[in-house]
Amino acid sequence: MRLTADVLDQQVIDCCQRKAGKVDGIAIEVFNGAPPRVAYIEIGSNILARRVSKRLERFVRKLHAKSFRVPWSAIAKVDVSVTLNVDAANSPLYDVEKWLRTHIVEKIPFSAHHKHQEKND
Amino acid sequence: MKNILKVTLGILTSIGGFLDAGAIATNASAGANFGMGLLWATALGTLFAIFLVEMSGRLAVVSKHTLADAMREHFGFRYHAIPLATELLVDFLVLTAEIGGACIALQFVTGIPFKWFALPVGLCIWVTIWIGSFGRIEKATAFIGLITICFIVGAFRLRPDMHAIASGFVPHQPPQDAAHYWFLSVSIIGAIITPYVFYFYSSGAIEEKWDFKDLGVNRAVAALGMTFGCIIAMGITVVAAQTLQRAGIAVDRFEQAPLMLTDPFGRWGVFLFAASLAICCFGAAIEVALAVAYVVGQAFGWRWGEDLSPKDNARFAMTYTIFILLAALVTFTGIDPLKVTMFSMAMAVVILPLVILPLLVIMNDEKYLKEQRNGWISNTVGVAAVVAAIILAIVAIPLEIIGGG
Repeated sequence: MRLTADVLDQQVIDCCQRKAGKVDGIAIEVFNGAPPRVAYIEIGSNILARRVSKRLERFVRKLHAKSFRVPWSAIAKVDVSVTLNVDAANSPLYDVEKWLRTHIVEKIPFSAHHKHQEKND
Repeated sequence: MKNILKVTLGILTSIGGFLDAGAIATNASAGANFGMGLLWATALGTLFAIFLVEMSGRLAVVSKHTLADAMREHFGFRYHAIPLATELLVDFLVLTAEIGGACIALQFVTGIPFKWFALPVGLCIWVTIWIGSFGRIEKATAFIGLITICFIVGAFRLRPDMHAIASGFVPHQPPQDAAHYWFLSVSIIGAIITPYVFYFYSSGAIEEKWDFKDLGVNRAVAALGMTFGCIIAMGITVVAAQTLQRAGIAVDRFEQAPLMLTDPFGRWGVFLFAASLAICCFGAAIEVALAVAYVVGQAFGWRWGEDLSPKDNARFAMTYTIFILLAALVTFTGIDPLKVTMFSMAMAVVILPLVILPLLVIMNDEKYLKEQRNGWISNTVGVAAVVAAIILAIVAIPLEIIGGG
């Protein structure tokens, strides 16, 4: 597996098949004498902003964006996407989603109505 | 049988996707100013569109990645941030243009200044996306969009000179107004291969759960849908050439355009034109608004999908909500929709290479396409499209300045 080609920027799916952001960063631990080891992946707009520019990172930091760290041991598999064996629903990734849902979207009519889904053959 | 239905629906949808404020304005303007002289630009743009749309559909079918997913993954976020940011700006302009186009159509019919329709039209677009599902929206806009066939009927009724039409397929620089001629050719191509189309199409293939069986459907829809769209667009050019050019009317305001259908259809002409413009713009506005939510959602890995209720993907729903609201507010200021349309098409051309060059690279990557990588024909047309896009992107802004007015 190549970390930057196969893991970085991949779609993350949590244990409940929920889309849970993209792999925005990978943290590698280096201890004296031991070979480097992947400690965790990081998901969050502040991590992403750091990759673009320092200024953007400072800006995003002001928005109090929090990142979500997933230890490498919690990754179930890596293929078309990175699947976790943890639940992301209560992670900081869903803070904005939940805030928007309870404060705005649910106050608008028809926000919860079940859309008719086309049957596919 | 099911495949025939799928292809038919796909064709109807692509006609809708092909014709929008930009296509109508640029083709009408081409006919009014240069007769049949710019038909080649419509044909060339369509050829590129067929291949590029087929590629974005194939990418989604084979790799289960949308264009935005694959772009971020393959080139990293540092690169992806550039097409993402510029795409949002251009999509905002295009959405403003489509809302403006629909409002102008309502002005033709009611006589009430277009800006008063901006917020109601924006609201209709938003309600349709908020409540509708992908399949329902697709079907509804596809069938209502058939009204644009009036341009082909009109073109035949006017008995155009077939030799003139044939000669329009070869570029001839006119003795005067050369800058305007080339500006229009850039805008026509820009209106056909607007980048949001590729993001939208690849997301649509995932929304409709296309799989390997559908590769043939994808190819047929891309080829036939774009061709039919192209024929209608050429119908607009021919009608405009036969009517507006003869009457000496250069379309520099949208208000002059409906006159082109009064010759073949009498007083119903204005209504037919208004209905075609309104429906095309409405359909395109829905596509652009969804495309914005798709690219943002996919860039950050959110849950996305038009078939989920807004409560289940609040960020996705708020993204298109905010975009539609802002674009409707800009139209409400009374800014000339035709100017916004022409400007947005030129800007779409400027960012085109940022989107289709990565698309072409991804289409040759075994990791995504496996055995379905581009063959030499797709690659030849793809490279030609990229080269053309780079040239167009370089000349678009200078031409906008000298030939845009």
